[in-house]
Amino acid sequence: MKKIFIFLTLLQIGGLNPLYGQSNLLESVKKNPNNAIEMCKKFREFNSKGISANSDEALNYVSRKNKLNPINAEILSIYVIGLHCPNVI
Amino acid sequence: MFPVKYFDTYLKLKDGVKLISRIWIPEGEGPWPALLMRQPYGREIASTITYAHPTWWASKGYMVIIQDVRGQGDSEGDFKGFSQEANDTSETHSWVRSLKECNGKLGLYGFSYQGLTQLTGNEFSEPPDCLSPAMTGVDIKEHWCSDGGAFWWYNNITWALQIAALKMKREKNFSGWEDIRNNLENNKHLREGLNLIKKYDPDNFIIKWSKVLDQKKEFDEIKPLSSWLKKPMLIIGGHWDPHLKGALDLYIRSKSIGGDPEIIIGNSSHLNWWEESQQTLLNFFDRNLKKVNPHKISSTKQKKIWNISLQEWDNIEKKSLNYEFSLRSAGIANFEIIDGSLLLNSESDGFVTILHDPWRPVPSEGNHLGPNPGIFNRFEVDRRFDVAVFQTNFLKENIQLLGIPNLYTSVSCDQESFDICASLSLVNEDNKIINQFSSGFLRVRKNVINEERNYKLKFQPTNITLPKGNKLRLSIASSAWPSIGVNSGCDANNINPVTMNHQITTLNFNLKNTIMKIKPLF
Repeated sequence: MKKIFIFLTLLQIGGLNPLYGQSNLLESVKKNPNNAIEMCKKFREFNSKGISANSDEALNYVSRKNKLNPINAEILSIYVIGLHCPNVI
Repeated sequence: MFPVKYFDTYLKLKDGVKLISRIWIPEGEGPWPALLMRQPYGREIASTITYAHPTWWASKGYMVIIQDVRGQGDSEGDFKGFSQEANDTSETHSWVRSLKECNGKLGLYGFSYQGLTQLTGNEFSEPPDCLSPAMTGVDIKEHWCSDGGAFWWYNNITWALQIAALKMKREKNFSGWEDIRNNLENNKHLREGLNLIKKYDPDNFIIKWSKVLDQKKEFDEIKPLSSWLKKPMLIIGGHWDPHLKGALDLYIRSKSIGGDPEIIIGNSSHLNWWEESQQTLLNFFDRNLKKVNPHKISSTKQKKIWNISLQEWDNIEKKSLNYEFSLRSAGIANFEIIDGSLLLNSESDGFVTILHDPWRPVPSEGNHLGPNPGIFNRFEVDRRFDVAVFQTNFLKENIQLLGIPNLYTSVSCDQESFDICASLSLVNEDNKIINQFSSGFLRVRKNVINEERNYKLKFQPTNITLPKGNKLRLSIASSAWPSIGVNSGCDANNINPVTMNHQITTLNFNLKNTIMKIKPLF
């Protein structure tokens, strides 16, 4: 039991179980509005430079920041934009 | 009739190989601007399945050169596909410009393979004055070979057999040609095709592509020359053409390096184009090769895409809404239409489980990869219990979907490889006509068995206005035969017709993380 606890702790510290889990991205966005708002701010920055939130550059940012693979980063972006900044392009 | 004459001649390449061309010229005093097509199917045909005969182009004041590429038709050498074309193209351009009948102006035309031969040349070679690559692309994996990693079974097997039959003809192998033809006419080629190609044309590039895809190796890279992509270019694509993504990619590539290409995405399949296509192309060449009659020819650059339902052209750069749809099911969206919902601006929820039985794969027709491309009524297909159906209510207003539909979904599966095959359809008021207008495919490999993962499936780009009073339907299955091959369930050696070793596969879709979003074309 102790070993399992240590393993799970290491996963958390090591970023393998980041803020956003694999299959509950929508719930995660709802529970972490501050992070979503921060992402919206970054998306607006991208937009001001003529870069879309759908672009590889923006998705790489989401992927890096949240330690997500590219597909999960796209899904997360869709939820964040839909819930918090629908005017982002 | 405008008097036109033709003759055969050849270019001797630096390596000694002779490439044969047929040249059509108007009667009278030249020289004329040249239109060149480099093709592998026989110069006499001159791609007349999609283009007006060279006599018509010559009658409009052009010298037309249709060349048999290396190893095809009457040209010498061995045919090796795309990899051979860069050098031969550059040498041919210099040769054409040097001909006494040519006034030095060179335009390129042709579709499919003939589209690709317009885009490859030796570095630093002089670009053509203008070009019109049609139904083509430069990424072998994405534009010639597969959708979402799923090999284009029907398209590539039938194409490879055509190439193999041409080889039999060239080698005067009567029985080989007959064998291929009989299999095609008896529809046995879908099962026997790969073996026939291996038997009669083992070096066929389709065999190579299928192996590269299966073994996850790197495809050869085709690098179009920047100086060529900046020249006046009319890119032609079609809603029902497998290479449509390639046409859009060419547009993006050209724009990204400062080009200002024209693009037309028509209501056309690979082999069946829209009526005014020839006149449009003629106007393009007249504008860029003759620069005469400036008042008679519209100087407006063509940048348009056909609207499938409204039957009219739209500006391809028009901004459209990036609609998002969510999915809901209580678990029986594959049994009861009422159970599967497709909702705008809502939250997805629920689940559905569908089965892939390789003995009876879900048939696939129409759109860009089916045997008969175009709109397809999938009413009967959607009645199957291995197809999950999600549908909107009657739309309260018109909705235009202009872009690339993307489906994001969570799946767990009991095999190491599985397919997700999705289609979008416009449903009429009585639910009887289900007009499928866009399809997408995804082959998942190295799946961790029974572990849920998120996946993304890209559909064929589309432009359709869903009329008020109709419905939008999303259908999801786990096979699409013969558009793509039947998945064996195994990661390796998975490009074959169905065998008794193919596994029955169960896919569990968690709809919570499932969403369909229409993303812009560019």
